[in-house]
Amino acid sequence: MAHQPNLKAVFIDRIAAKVIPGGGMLIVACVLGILVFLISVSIPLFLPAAAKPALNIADQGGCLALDYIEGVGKPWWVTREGTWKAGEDGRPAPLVVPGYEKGKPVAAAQAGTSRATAILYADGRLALVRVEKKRDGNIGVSLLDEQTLSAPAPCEISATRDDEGHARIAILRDGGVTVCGPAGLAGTAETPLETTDARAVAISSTGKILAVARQSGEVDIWDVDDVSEPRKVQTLPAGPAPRTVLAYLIGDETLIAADERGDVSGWMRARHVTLTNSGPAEVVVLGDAVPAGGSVVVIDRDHGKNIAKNGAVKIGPGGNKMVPARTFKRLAAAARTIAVSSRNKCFAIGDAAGGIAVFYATTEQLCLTIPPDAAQPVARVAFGETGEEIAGWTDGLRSWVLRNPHPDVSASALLSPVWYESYAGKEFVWQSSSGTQDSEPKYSLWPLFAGTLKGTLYALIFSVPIALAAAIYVARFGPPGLRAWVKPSIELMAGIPSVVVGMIAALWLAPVVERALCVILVGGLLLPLVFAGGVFVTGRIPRRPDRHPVVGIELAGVVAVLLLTALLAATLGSPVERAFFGGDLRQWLFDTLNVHYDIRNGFLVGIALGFAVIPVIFTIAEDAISNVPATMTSAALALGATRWQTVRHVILPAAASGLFAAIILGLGRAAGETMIVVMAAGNTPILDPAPWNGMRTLSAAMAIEIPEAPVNGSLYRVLFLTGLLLFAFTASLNTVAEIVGNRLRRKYGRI
Amino acid sequence: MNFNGRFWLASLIGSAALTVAVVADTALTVDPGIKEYAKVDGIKGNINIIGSDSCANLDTLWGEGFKKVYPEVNVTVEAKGSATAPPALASRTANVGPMSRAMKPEEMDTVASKWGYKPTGVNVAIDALAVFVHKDNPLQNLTFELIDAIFSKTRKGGHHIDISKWGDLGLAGEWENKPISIYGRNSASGTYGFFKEHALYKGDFKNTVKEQPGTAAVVQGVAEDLYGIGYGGIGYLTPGVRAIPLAKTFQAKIFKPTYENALSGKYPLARFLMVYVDVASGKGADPVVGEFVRFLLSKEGQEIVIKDGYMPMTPGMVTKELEKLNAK
Repeated sequence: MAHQPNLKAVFIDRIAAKVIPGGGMLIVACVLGILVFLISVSIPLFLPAAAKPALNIADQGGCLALDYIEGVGKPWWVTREGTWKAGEDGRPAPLVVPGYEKGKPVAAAQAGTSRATAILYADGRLALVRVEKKRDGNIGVSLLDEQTLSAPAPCEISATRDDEGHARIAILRDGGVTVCGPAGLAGTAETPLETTDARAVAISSTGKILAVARQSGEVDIWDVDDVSEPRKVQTLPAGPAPRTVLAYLIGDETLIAADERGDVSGWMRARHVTLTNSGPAEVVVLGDAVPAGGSVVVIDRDHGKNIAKNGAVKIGPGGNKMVPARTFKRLAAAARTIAVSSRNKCFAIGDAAGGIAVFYATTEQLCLTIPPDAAQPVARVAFGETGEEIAGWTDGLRSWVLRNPHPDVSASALLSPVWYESYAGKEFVWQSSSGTQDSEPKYSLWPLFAGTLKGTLYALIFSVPIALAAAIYVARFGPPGLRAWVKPSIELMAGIPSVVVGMIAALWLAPVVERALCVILVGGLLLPLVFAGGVFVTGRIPRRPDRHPVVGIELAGVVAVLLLTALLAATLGSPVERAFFGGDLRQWLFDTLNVHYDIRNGFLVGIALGFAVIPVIFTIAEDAISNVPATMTSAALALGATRWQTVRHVILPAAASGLFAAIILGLGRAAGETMIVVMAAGNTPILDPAPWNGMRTLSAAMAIEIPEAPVNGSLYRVLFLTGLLLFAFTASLNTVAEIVGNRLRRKYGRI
Repeated sequence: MNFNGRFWLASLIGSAALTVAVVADTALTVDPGIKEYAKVDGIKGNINIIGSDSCANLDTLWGEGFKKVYPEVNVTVEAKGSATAPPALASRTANVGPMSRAMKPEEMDTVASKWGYKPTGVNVAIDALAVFVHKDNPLQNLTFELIDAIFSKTRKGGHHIDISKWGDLGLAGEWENKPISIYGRNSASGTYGFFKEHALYKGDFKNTVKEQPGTAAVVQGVAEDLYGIGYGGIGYLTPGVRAIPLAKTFQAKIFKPTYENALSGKYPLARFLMVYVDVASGKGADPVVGEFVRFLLSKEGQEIVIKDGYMPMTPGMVTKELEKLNAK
């Protein structure tokens, strides 16, 4: 019978020949796709800011007040003659303000970050207004507060809307400053300050603090909480030139000052302490020298922790003071006017040459500069409600749409220490969100890197010795039957969902470890001793050459040693704790070493994460060892090598590539593991390698914070960046494992 | 080592039991001025709730109650923290976003950029945020300045030393040298944000605060840790912990977290629990959402508030909140 080709088999073969490589390519494409996606989400963090011109309206009437219409994204302004205009669709539209159609305004200012504008009229009326899109869709003016002041001459003002909704303003006229605001039943108080050479004023958003820049270059800080009784609380030292522009950023923690030369600096409120030395000699606390019998007021850097008990130095409150904390890139010309964002720490300064510079305070970066179109000073600048628009006035209105979505992120903010508001100095901090608008997001990646490395390191310290020893034993020493059930059961460990491991670690193991801390410590110290003792004792037992040792007897020996150690540790634990640690090891650690033992800590994570990693390392290592050709081991044994010598000099070198790959893959698994660390690590983003406190890993930060991150916001992109970094980390680990594995394979492959 | 299987089982049961909150103030009743819910015809659809963890049990109970009235309505609840509400509302994954703090302007922008208008926040219950210590802790009371010095590394309250041991708070004897073990919420939580804004004077939490994914876990941590301290909604109070009476300043009077003190504003950490919804008429609005909010503000809805350990609204508040639903 002639051979008939099996058409079906040929067909299937052809399909398979296409599908199988196709599947492989698909996987490669998927991995590359993930990489491209991660990169494309993270890249916009580092794109420079840009401004797209929007409106350009010439208006000879000048501009006293300039701000944005709430809910519309278009500017409005008041001319020097008192005409109100809204910049709609390229041409000014008149605005009607009942009661304010007539009357000449003398000064105006945006009311801090409260999205309102204060306008002072020649007849003494002070109007606090907001121009907004009303419910019916039309644009209208809301009068938020109205006060009557004594009729003012031409002046400049700084204004805010306080917590009760009242306007508080500071009037600067001929070098004198008057602070005005509601004062109890008497109505509005107007109190002149003892200043004759003021150049610029800025009132804080709460209206409680007033900064006055003087001709001398100094800046006085006044407490004006009680408008009728202002108190000078601090004088900031003079810079190289008189300050011409002052403003408080959102949150009132930072004061921006810019001067006649274009230098821009930031001053931040810092809590101080008073250190008083009653002793006979100078004492240095944290680098701050306290003279004998004297006292100093310094920034509070936790001096309390560093003062020896019963020492000569006492610590007391030192109040809040402004300290120079930030410097910015110099402007092209003298600073003329400033606007602050009501969404973040952005501010814009208009200079005498007509340019506008937008800065972000936290990262000290110059986001962008808008070049002048005419060589005239900028009279006013204003941010839109969302901080995504900016308008400036030189001899007419120009406005731009800003594309500056991530001013809070830069390479230096991610990697360098930053001095954040109300901190005592530069620090690496991860504290990405808060419930209020005026706090700075803090995106230092180091605490997350450190947490990932810490968790991984402790996991490997715990798992590598156990997994490798188990692999060697099962593959080479143990009775042949052992492997048949040990290997599947260890591999079964890998099947336990990590959330279960994490839950057991967090809810059951954590309190157990905490209570039995001394027992574990004693056990750890005893184990080598008991082992050495066991080896010594078994060595003394005379070996009977006529009888083979029982297979697996050593396993029983090891179990006996472990049980003995546990028993000894359990009985010795409490007496040792009483004898050496005053009955409470945790307390002793805290009292003598100032170590705060956290119940969710690195040790615990090491065990839990190690438990998850053991199967990975064991399986690959065991395969590698078993695959060493029997001819090699037989030869070694035949030449008279002991079993250990065979393992040490023949099997381990031959299997080294596999063992290395096992450890690296275990490392990758530990670095990427999420649920265990989320549950057992306490998620404290700290930079401390100690085993007694917790950590927050890259993966845990992603898992915890991605649901709260607005899509395409800074946090969202930073989390994707951490994902990219983790991806790159594990990918490079795997590559290293592959390369080293290949090299070792080539080296030993010849054997 | 004194552990056994029973202990392990007990902690599992314990954590399960925590999800059943204990009524804080058994004397609370809904004011008769609040009307019963009146069923409307033709209501069907989905209620997808994503947001505050403080409202987790509340949402579930509300959902069940609402389903009793309208069996054909589907209710899903996901409670991972207030900060998860705005992104979910913006993407319309959720149509009800419970939050335990007010939405930030930036979050409003996020939603408004997708919807074209801002979401409406409706107050639906009252909570007194409590500071919890272990039930055997002898601490009598706290001020904001001391809370700030315990929880915050920035200490904007102005306390001149960091408080790290119970002795720093004046406890003597065996407590004097015991370190304070701090439990808190994760940053997605509105409770985290509210506590940070008020008790920490907008400062930053210490890095050593153990961030828990839910208030139940905070309370459980404190109940198991003799030297623990934590914070959370009063609805999560259990017999294992005690809520500390608070004062705003050293000079101010001290108040317990009771209903009267929360209503009068004397207890300094009282707040509204809110839901953010789309009430714009015509575009995007869903009648089922409006009815759901009306249900929350009804006698039945407020009885659920009490059942879950929170505090009911007053008739005056309810009237004011209902007006928001009728706005254009």
